[in-house]
Amino acid sequence: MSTVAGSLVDHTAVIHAGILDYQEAWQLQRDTVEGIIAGTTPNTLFLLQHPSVYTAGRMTKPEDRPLDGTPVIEVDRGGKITWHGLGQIVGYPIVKLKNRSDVVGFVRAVEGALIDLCIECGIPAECYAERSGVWIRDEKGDRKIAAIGMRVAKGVTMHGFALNVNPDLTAYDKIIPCGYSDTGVTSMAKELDRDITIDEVMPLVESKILTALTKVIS
Amino acid sequence: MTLAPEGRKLLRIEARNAAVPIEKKPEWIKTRAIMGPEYTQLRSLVVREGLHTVCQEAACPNIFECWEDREATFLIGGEKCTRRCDFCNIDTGKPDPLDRDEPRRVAESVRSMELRYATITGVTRDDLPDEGAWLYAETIRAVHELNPGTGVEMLAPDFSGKPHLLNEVFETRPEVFAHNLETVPRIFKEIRPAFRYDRSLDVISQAQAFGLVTKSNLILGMGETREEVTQALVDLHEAGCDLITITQYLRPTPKHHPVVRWVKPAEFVELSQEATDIGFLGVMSGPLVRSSYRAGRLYKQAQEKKALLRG
Repeated sequence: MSTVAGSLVDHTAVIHAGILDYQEAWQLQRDTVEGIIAGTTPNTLFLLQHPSVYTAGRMTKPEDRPLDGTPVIEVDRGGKITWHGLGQIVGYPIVKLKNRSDVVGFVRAVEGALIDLCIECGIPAECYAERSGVWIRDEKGDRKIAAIGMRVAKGVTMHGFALNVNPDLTAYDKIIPCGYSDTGVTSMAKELDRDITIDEVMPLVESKILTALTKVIS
Repeated sequence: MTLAPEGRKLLRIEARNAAVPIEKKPEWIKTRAIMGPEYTQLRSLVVREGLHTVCQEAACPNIFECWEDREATFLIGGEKCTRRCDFCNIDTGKPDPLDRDEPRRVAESVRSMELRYATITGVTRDDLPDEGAWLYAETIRAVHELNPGTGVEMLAPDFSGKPHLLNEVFETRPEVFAHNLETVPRIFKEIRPAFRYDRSLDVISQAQAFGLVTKSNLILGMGETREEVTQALVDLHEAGCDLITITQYLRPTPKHHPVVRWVKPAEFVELSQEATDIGFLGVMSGPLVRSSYRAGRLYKQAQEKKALLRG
């Protein structure tokens, strides 16, 4: 295998994949992980939307799942069940960690980037000590605006985050998202009570996440 | 004694290169790509059918753009090159025996991938009496025959400048005949010890005289000066070169030539204008441009301008 074109493997490539089927994106993630381990693929941040799909992490309990037989894809990440669909920016940072065992540090870096982004957009988001993701917590209750579910193998990260920009939130009604029955989910559009689009938020996600990644990748 | 990862002893030049640490890349060297439906479809096909393109194997940053347009590049002649250039990551060594079935397989791949434009390049084969001319010619023929609508760009070695070998390739009439000059005369011998500046220019002249659309590439950042780049552009144009790509050198491994200079994006824009003023029919100039980047589009541009010139 040769790199005729010269090496770009020490840089983070950003790939905007549009609307991509979950399984296809998952395969793409696996190929990228393999390439990074082999040293032939750069660290890569995929940004995309999925057509509507439920995915279940390793910790999902039977009672968290849809009761009506809606198909669920079993995924090798941490966390429980969640939903992806249009109106949500999904990001898969497939990167080699500087400190290969520091998964928590990595998750916190991604969380921090998304919190910054929300705050800049006028949404007082915060983290929730024992629960991953990005949250809004006020008198109306705790609700999650972005979910994070990662996996690290051989020092390379996989899976990622999902930020609700303007999705149809009723999709969450079928499940107990992330297994939390005492909290809700929300979106940027709902919190801001105005129209906000993927195109508007995407450049912010790209720059915030890239900045966060430079601190944790090797 | 320092050993290369493959376990062999480092060449003297490799050891000298390795003494210079890998440079930090400037912020404008970054990849940002848009992945479209054509790319996605092509990718799954390539995985499913076990096809090989340089695009994936060299982790080219432009793969998303080129594949979306159904353009791809193939490397023929095996994985070992008989010459060693100080920027190239293809292994140097004794090549495997000639694979006479390769032209057919490349042609089949072009067909399965439904390519609009295919670049065929390869290693030098100084071990063969015809330096691989038959293999190159036969591959172009096979691709044309099986894919009448597909443009073929031949990115060839120099065949030691021998007219009968070059003619064998010319006669298959690739849409574009490319031979990369890569650098300027003063440092040419150091960078490409087995090639010669004048001979490479002459290869392009021979292709032009045969009536082909010609193309070449310059890699910047290996020690040339700005004035020398201008001179090389003028030399190429005078030799009969129609199309030019101008790129930034990226160092594949520590064993390769250090990066001497990071050419700023503005200078690439300036060079693009300069090349157009000199009279090239098409120019691609940028830090991450590679010689077969958007090759089909550049060819089309040349075709239109040539038609215009003919009136």
